[in-house]
Amino acid sequence: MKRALCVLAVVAGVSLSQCGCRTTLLESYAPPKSGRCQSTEKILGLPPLAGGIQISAPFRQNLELELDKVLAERWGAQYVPLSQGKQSCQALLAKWTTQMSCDYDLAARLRVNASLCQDLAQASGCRYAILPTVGRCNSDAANILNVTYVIPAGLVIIVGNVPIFLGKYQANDMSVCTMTLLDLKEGAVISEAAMASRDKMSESGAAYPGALINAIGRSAKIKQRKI
Amino acid sequence: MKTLIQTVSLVACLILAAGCATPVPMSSIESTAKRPATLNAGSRIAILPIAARVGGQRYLASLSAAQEVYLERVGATTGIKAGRDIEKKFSEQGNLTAAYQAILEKLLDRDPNLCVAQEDILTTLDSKPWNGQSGIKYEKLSDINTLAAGKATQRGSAAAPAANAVAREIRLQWNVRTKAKASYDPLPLASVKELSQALECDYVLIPVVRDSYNYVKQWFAFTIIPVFRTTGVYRMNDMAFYLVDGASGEVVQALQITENRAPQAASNDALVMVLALNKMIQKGDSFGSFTFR
Repeated sequence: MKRALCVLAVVAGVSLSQCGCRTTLLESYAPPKSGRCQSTEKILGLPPLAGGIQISAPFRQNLELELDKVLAERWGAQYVPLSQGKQSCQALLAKWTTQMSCDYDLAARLRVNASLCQDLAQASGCRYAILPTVGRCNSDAANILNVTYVIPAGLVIIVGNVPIFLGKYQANDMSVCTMTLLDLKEGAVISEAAMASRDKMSESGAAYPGALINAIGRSAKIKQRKI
Repeated sequence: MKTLIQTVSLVACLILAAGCATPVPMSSIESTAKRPATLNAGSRIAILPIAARVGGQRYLASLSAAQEVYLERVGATTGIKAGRDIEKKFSEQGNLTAAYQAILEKLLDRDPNLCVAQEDILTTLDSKPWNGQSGIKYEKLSDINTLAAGKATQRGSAAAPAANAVAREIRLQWNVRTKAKASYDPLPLASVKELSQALECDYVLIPVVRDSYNYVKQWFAFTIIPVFRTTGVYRMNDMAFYLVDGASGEVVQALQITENRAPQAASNDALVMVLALNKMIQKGDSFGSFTFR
């Protein structure tokens, strides 16, 4: 019985540690091959693409400023800010925004626009680029009751969890933001981070990029160290 | 000593539970009312790039690679175009991207036609293995994830940790609901015609990966600790496929597959893509016969 209570306490502790208002999902994806992001090459900031939603001009402006600020802190001189890129590659970035703002597989879009990627790389002097996207996704909402049981059976203690579906309730579609590190020369996606949040996006545009950039930055930094 | 045995037993139980054979659980819903009986007879079909509002690239990479695996398996002589051929046309003709976007505006978000209704007909896959005449060729299916992972890696893009996690055991559990009523407005005809003419095909097949998320309020109940609540956001896997008549712009068949256990099911993405293509296109018997009853 004592042991059973111990196990129960551990389970409860683990579950309690997850307690809180976690209404955000953040997933990041690191490069599959080490050494793919070379620390000597520069990274260009690209204008954010919107999918399925209209983003206001102030939101876009704030977002761009925030991206430049956080990325410059993260990557230092390796990062070429969007504000600078807008001056040196204005026409190419305008073309980029038109050609790339479509709702299909980003990797396929890069292959389709391979020559544009190479032109951009050449004009900006950057091999890599960081592409933020803002969009919406469908969402469902549900209430679930988890009943945890502990059965001491001789030497073995069986611990289990029974999720009981209580019902669905009305949910508004969520906001999703992604940050993708691209190889402009090869026209490939190197790494990405995505964040889905039930909370309404901050109008200032400054609330969410930090976490995404951290995720991307961390993976890129690890690769830099390996070279 | 007793505690050690107890701990080892518990760990063993957990490992066993995690490592047990996991059949591929799927449920799908489809509308076939307008699918013409003549579609199989030499129809040319173009499989367009996977659509997604924002899309997780690591998932899309393995799905995209799975299309290539499918083409290899059914053979290139069946009038199907996909992958690099289609991308080449898109890169040569810049207007195709805009035409595709016009179509996608109608298809990308939640599809009310593919919601479950009481009058829908429910069938289950007859999962018996191939006996030389009918059944499923499981040995052909089992290597799909590996092949897709290999292709994704070759492409040098954000390849597929999901596809690398090969399904432990392929034993399909597939429940199919067929819509009794579904009504699609015709898609923008000019755009559909532009695409079908440029790609020289009779039908276009549009795969859509919906960024679906579950917002869950979980109530935990313990015997000695009172009830408490957590909230969380979880990713879901929804893949929809639309077969569109290139001449009329009508959706002739629609299929949406939901994998029941999202975290584990991610390892079967490539397999699900291939099976869905097989179901939509119905050409050849490379994977055996899929009979529903």
